[in-house]
Amino acid sequence: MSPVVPPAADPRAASFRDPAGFVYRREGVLYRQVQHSGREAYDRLMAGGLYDELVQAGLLVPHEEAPLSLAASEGAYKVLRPREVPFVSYPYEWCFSQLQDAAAATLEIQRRALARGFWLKDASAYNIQFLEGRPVLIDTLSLEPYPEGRPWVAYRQFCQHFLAPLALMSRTDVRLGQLLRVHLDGIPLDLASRLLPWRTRLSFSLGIHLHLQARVAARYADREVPRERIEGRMSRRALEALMDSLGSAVRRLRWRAGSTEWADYYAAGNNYAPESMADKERLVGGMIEEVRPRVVWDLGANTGRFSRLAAARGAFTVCWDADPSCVEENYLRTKRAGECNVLPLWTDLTNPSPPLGWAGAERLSLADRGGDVDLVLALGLVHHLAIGNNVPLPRVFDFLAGLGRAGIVEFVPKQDSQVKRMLSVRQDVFADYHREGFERALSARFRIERAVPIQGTCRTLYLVRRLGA
Amino acid sequence: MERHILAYVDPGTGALLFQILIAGLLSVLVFFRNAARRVLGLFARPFLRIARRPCGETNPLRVAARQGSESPTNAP
Repeated sequence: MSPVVPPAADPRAASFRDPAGFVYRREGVLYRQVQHSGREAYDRLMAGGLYDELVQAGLLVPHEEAPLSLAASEGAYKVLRPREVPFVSYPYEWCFSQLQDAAAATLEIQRRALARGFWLKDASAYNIQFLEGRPVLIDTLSLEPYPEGRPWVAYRQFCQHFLAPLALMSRTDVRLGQLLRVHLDGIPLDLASRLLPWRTRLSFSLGIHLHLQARVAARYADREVPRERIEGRMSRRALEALMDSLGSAVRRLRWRAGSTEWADYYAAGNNYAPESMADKERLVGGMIEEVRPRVVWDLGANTGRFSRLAAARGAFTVCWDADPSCVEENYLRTKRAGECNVLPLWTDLTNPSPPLGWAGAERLSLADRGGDVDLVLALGLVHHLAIGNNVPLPRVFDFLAGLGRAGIVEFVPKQDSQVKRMLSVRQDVFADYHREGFERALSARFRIERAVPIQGTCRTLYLVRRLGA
Repeated sequence: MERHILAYVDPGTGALLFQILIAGLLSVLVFFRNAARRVLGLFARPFLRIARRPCGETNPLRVAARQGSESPTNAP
């Protein structure tokens, strides 16, 4: 799979914290440099069988060792060429079950590591990525020899990155997962504690790991504690009991995708008689075959019905949707079917993931991570942006042209029941929203290759190629 | 190898002290839970295998959990 991370993006922007190593790109290829300070940890990881075990279990991204001459800077002990994930997603784009599976993978890695005398020196959710539908650790250097007797340095980080957002999504409101967009080092425990319902204090694991920890941390916030009170104070058995407790806390949290307007959209037979739906699928499938894309982004993917037409034709398909229930259902479907090339993600396209973090460059924006995808699907989407969010059509197509070289775009006219409903209680200020206006705006950025009506509906499908692409 | 007491991630003073306290308590609880399971298992074995966990689990989360509970983590 070719990298979707654009060559222009410097991934070092996100890997400057760990002195043991960092990642960088050279001629478009991703490398990880292991510094001499990470030498012992790396050698023991490779020789002791833990690397092989984790890679075999699909929990760690595999790598090959590359010539040292490819190092990016001084102090290199090894240069690794890791297998690249096809798309780097962020925890604030994951649905509940994705975050829960990422948490479970982190704990499973920690369990296997401890059994071989290692542990995770950090538990950042950003170290987990989805590869072939499964969560994997991408930061090989997070594993280091377990220093007997020490408490887990990443305990608070695990609670902030995983347990707190999961608890908030499960027990307060699933939309609170978006707090991770503001708090890049995880949700502060005092904030989580305030936002969680009072009854969660009575839950054994949430009571301890979130509420009580938040109170104790506040008390010790500005105190200096002698090393003797920390070093050698925590037995391996106590550490394992802690991991066991975190595991059961994560597993017990549940969120059931509610029956939302969008999650039920297809089931309710909205706007489409079964024949029309079949016709639309046939048309979209045919257009995808014409483009023969390797990477597809389905914008407003709902539960991924049309994304799977692209995936079935061999394209790696990222499905974006603003409805967390749709993303959840889509993800659970990929898990059930063991689909390797479908990645459902959660974002509101009227406010897509921005660049975030240190110097605004640690986490890339949605558009910067796309690079230039082969095909963008915008099915049943444009009327939501143009009418639902008052974005002028030329700007909608500027946005689409910024994401991909080709597109399959659906025009939904004002006489369609969906648009009628949107306009029923508001003034129609969309004088240019008609077929000619749509085609005019579309033609400013794309060449229209085909325009095909969908049988039994008043909707039209366009296959378009970006001008100059 | 250089053994830094605290990793490059700030673990938080309160979180470390809290963890030492809580983990001690948790390991005692795990000890008693496992002891109780063994006793229950002793009585259950001839009749119903109630102490056994469900098998045929396909959810990777719960498979991991099951493997986890069979690990030395819970060994008394």
